[in-house]
Amino acid sequence: MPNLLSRFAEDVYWLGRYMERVESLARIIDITKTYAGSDQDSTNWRRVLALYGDAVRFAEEGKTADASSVLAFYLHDVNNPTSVAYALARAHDNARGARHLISTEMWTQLNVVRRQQDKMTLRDLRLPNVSAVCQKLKTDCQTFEGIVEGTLTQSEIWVFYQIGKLLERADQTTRVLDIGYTSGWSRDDDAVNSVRWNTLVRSLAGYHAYRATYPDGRYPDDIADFLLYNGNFVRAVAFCVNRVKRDISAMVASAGEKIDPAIASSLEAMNRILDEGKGNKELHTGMSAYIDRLQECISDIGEAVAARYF
Amino acid sequence: MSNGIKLASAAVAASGHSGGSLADYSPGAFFCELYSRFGKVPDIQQVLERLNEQDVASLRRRSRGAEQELLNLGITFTVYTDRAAIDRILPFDVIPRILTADDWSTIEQGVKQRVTAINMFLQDIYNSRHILCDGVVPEELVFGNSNYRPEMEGFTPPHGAYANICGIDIVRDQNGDFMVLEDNARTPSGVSYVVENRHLMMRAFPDLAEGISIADVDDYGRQLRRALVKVAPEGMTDPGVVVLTPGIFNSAYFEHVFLAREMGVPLVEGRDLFVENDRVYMKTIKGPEPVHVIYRRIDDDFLDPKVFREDSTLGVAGLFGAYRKGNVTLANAVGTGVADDKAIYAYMPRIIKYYLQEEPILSNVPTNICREKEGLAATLDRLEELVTKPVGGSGGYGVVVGPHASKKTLRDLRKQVLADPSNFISQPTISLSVCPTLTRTGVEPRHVDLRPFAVTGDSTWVLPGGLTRVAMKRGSLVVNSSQGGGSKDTWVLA
Repeated sequence: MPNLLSRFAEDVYWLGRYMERVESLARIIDITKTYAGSDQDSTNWRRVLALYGDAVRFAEEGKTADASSVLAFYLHDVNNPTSVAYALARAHDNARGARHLISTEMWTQLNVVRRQQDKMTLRDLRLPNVSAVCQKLKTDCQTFEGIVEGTLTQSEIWVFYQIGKLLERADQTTRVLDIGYTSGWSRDDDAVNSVRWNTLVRSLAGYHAYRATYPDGRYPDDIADFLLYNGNFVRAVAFCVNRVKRDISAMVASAGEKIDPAIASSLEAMNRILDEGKGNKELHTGMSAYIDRLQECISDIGEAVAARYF
Repeated sequence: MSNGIKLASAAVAASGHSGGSLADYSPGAFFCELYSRFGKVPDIQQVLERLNEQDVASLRRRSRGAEQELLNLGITFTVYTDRAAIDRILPFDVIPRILTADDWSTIEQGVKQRVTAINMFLQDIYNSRHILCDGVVPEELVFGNSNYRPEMEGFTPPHGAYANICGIDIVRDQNGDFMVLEDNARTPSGVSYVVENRHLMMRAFPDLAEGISIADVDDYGRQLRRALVKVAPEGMTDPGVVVLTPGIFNSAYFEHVFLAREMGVPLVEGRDLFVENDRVYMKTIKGPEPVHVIYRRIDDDFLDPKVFREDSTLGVAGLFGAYRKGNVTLANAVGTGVADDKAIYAYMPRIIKYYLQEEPILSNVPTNICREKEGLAATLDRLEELVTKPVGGSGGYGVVVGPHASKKTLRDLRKQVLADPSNFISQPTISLSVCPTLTRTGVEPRHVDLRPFAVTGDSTWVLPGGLTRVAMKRGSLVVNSSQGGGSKDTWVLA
């Protein structure tokens, strides 16, 4: 069997990234809608723009940061590179490039999801419908992920899919966590905050796992610990990074090779930062800066993988 | 023949639904692929009876299900508008076209013979040119042809196989006789639909084929790969085989995916390959890996910017040099287009006789060659009955269909033919055969053709059946997918 072409590795890496991004966007829109409730205050919607560094671009397009514009921007606008519509289109294109290597079932699911997205109108995005739209997107992505698990050969192509997915997931988890830290909520461990933080961890499908791990958890410190350092929760940053390391190591080992030095050092740098943060509660006052460092490090890993393999 | 066929109605009554989808069907004066066999071929009769047990609504349900599945599976070709890329499906008709074992035997032998002659012709014109010296084919038809590639002179690919993949377009006249309409010796498309249509048919209409023995079509990928391995550069026992596509924006991209998948080989683009010291490599995650056989789905013009079109971004610089050195095999070979040209087509029966000393098993549509005295006379005598075609043109440009042409058009045509006879051929209009087809107004006869696919390594293999294309508009003879044609599953009875 011939070796995997670099382009196919890159295609499935981005397929993994974009599908994960769609799911995360759906989660973030959904939770923002929950926080914003029905009030007309646009603070919550502006925060999403900040989260993706889109505030300036959004303003330049002459838009006001109210619910309907932000929803259209992130769910419907195919020209916005940080939207669900854009991510799905790119996922579909990337899958098309490696179509002969992925399973027919994966391709079919992407066709169905993309067509459904293309049919979406602004009418479908009115506030009362938003949760349902986001739920559907999440379910569609999870279905896709299940199809991948059940049909994609676990060869190198699978490894690159995993790397893309896991790096994106780690990145998105830091962004969701950042919502909590940039919201201006008090740091009191009280009932109001517990609802806010529980909602946040729920948006990452981590509430029950969090409760089981921290039955007497304090807000927000233990939530941050859980989302950043937990080794078992599948959306925790540490978990994702460990998996990336494990999958790359297994792939190179089976070829009798050593892990690429640049990739290895980017992973080590990531682990150092995670170790530094673990148990250092001081960090939580400067959490946003810490999160920025993590995001940079995740991006470095991606770049090292690209430099070596694509 | 209208309503002259009494379909068994007992089964309809027993089945509990109304049935009668074929009650109003009449093929008129045309040869019908199914009805004209009624009472002669038991399997076909049974299929007709089973179809008639269905009512039109039930056929429509199955048809909608099948087309939805095509869309979901992404078995589509892409049409580009200013605004967007639209994935279209090739309309699929749920009523199969059926060939008997005898039909198939004729077609299979005829296609093999024709492909053999095409390959011998290509070998000859790029080397010794006996056929030209002997005056069987006029020189200027070869050297004046834009698809003739002087770069190929003196070069013979492994086993003399130039056209490794060939699609021969065949029609059937009102007597049920097969004849070749066109040869496709460059990159014929459509084989993916042959295989996918079968899968679709068996899911949409499993009951229709029950107990009927039909030749499998699943073996295409394996046969193709074997043939490509056979034509690998000498000494290569485990060659690197790839399919080369222009990319995801090509309208036939699905077919390229299909070919790569069925053969289990990488589907590469030009940018995935490079040439070093006249050897071809692909860029993999473990570095460069040698490539020995390329099933290329890119036209000659775009293969190598160093030799052909400089502005091509689809090809690979240096590819042709590696090819001439014998380090890589291109399938099909460069320059095969000269053999599937309209002008050469007219000479195919003579080409077959010249190389094989055999009569053609499949005849051409009778063709008058106007550069020859008798041909010119026959053409001018009956311009208003014939289809007259300029041989240089392509895509139907300049074709005059006599029966549909105005007096003025015919007068102008007469002048043009007289001024430059060698630029014209003429053919009688053929009454293409029909097949029952589900339409908006029920099951009606629609014209069909057939494109069998031949694969040649050290010998030629023909995929049983082929692509049946169907003109979806009433009376239309145009089966092309770009003009609303559809396709059918094609059964070859055992």
